[in-house]
Amino acid sequence: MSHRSQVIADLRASINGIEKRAGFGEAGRAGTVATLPGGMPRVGAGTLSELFTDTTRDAGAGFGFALMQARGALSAERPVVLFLQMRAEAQETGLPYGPGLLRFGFDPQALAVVRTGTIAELLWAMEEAAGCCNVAAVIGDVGRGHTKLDFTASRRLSLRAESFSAMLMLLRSGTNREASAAVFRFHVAALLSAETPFDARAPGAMRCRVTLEKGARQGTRHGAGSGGQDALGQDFWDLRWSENGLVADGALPGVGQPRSGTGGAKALSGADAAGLADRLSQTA
Amino acid sequence: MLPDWPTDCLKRHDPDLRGLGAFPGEVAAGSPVRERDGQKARPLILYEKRDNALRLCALDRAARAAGLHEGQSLSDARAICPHVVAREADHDFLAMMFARLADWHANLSPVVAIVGDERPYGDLMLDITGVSHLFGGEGALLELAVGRLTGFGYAASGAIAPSLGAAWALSHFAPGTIAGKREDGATPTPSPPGGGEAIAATARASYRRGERRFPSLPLAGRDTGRQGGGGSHASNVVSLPAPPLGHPRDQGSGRVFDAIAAFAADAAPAGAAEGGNVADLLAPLPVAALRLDAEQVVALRQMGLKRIGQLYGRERAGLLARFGGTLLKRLDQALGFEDEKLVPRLPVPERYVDRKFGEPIGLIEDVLLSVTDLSHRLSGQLQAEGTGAQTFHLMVFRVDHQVMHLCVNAARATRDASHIARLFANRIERLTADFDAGFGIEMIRLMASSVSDLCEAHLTSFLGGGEADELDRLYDRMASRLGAGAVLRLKPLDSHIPERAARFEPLMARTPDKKEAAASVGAPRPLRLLPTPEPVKVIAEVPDGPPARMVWRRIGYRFEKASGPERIGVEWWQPGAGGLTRDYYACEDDEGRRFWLFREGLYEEKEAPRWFLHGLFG
Repeated sequence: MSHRSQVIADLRASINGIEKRAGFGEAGRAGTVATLPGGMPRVGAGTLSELFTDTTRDAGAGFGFALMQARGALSAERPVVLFLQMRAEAQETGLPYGPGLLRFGFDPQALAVVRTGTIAELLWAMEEAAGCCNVAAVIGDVGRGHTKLDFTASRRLSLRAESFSAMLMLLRSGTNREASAAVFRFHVAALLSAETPFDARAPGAMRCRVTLEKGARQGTRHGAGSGGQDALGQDFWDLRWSENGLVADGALPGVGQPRSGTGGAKALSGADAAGLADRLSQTA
Repeated sequence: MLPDWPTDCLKRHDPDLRGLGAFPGEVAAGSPVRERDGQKARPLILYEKRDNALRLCALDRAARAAGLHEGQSLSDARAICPHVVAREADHDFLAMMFARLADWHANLSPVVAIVGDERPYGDLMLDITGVSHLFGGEGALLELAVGRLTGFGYAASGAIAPSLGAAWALSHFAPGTIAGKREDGATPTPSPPGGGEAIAATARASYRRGERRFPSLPLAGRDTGRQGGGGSHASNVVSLPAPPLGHPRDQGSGRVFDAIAAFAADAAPAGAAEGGNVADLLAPLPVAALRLDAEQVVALRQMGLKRIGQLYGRERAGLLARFGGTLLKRLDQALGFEDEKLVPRLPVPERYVDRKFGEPIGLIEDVLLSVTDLSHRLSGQLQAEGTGAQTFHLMVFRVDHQVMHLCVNAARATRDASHIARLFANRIERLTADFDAGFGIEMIRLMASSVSDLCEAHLTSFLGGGEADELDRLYDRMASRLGAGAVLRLKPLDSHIPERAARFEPLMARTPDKKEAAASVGAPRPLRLLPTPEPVKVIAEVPDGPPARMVWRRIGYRFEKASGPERIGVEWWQPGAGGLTRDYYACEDDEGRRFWLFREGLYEEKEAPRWFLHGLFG
């Protein structure tokens, strides 16, 4: 028995050597999600994360969360955030809009937009950008799954991010979860917006629920009301946009339930489920 | 030098036509002739549709010998010569092939142009200023240029003259002439013009003060102040004997032969005794040599003015009134009184290095290796001068006289060899599929343009340029692989119209220091804007109620919250005035997605205004 466990330990050690990680069980600081004082989860530099939304229609929420992550990484030495998108996808999900970024609290001057023709070029550009030590974060707006973006490609990106301590983010949509070497996978879902002070009928500040589907979280559970663990045991955070970034959204009204099955407490009626299934088949 | 370019070109590129129309015993050496009895002596003609009839527009020598001529109708030609091979002329193809041939001539001189006054092919012009000594003199250069074209199977003729017009005329009507030949053969010193009065035919001509390149002529009305010390030639010109009879070409018919012509702007006069006097040489040529149109030539002939020399003493006012300004202009251009600019086909390099291969290479890896090597050499050259360059060109010369031209730009001047090599490597990688070495590559040339001073201080990263430098390199690499318009930044503009309020522009790390006015708008603006607003079906209260439901991309949405309208009028001072006012609404559906919609037109403006989706909020 002890001999066998010795063998397993040796194998683990050699795999860890290949993986260049601190260890499977105890991930290093870079490999965990920290929760900022405001309540926003924050990934460390040197990691590749995937931000999933259910459909391309939700691209706004995913982009907003990515921007807030990137904003935290901006510094004097790393003054630029790169946003990469394929030209053909621009009409599908839209291009970053300067006044909108400004209103969102992100300086448009700090954003460089790279438009590529193919997914291969996009991945190349991401890798290239990850190697530049003056880039704060790289946001690749990939959207749906691509055959080119397989485990090998994500592994390359992940290693590249680690060796140059770059922050890489892939914006994805859909409900399929392909094999990926990304350290973190988040699911971002919009919630009904916050109340506006003087007009109850107007949309207020952005609110979203961010679920950590893959990756470890650092520290203990944060303040109650702004997050917790869902039925699958995944950590989630309910966040609200403020001028200082995303903050924990304390008051969670009953209507603000995420709509998809991932974190939803509400059971779906038959008709709803059928509609959902239809949509899935269209977007897969 | 290429009078029969259309037919020669076709014969070379169409295997069915190869070797057609060659006279027995004069098959060009080196051109693979397929021996086909019966086909060999068949003439080739090209026709095109002109004035609702099929007329010949190009013929080869055999066809001309058979008595056919240009402008003849195709049926006539077939009747006269039943075994003729007729093809429809594809001018675009011919022009394209000719352009390739012209580019290939960059291995003789950096400035190559196609003179396309009449047709986009046929006339090739090289500026051989300061080049000829590399090839053993002007005569040898001309022989080389014409000889190798003849070797390819093209009929070619050429001439060298101090002005573009004269070179054209001589190459068409007196091939082989070298006008204004220097005796010493020394390398011209590229000294700047002594004063502002240079009449050099090109900007790169060397010109010494006090020298006159062209003999001045006693043309009435000419500004005598410009004649300088050259007035002594005047009597020579006027008293020229009658031109020799029986000019070899079919003069006066209005047809001008295509030609390649080299002109040496630096050809110093070296005295009238040299026989290189341009005016003397041009005098016996027919007036068609002046690149006139057919009507002018006919009119001149009717007046008895058949030779260029006969125009020399005429009163300019009279010529102007009768034949139009172009005649005088062409005459002045040929004689060098008026500047004529050569428009080079390829960018003129300021510095270049090249490598010739003993054996043609074909592998893309070898090309990349050579590029690395060349960029080190170029970098050394730039370093010695203390300069850097922003634009780099790579020209790959293939043995089958085609040139591949690649260009990369750096965000700012550089002379870093590894950076240059990497940019080209990216660029070449991008066209691996299109890369075709043909029968091999014989020469690779790396050129630098937009050269500017670059001192060591610019290069050190201690002065705070470090991150900008790194970012510049990143953007350069991306642009070299993804294309120039791939790396962009958002530039805010002063406009109310949402899609005009921001524009993408190519990015450089070192953006101007002043922050552009990027005032935040009080009203909501989306994170993502659709490049083209998409029409949606909307149910809304008339006239100004917010949307309650929407169908977008065949999916229905029910809105819980909405704000608006934000009314944005048309900017009447901009193009596109007269459009409709837009009412923008920010709407949120029951699942928290937020959209930016607008209605194009008010209900007073339009009967049934349409709705569009313009953006997505975060």
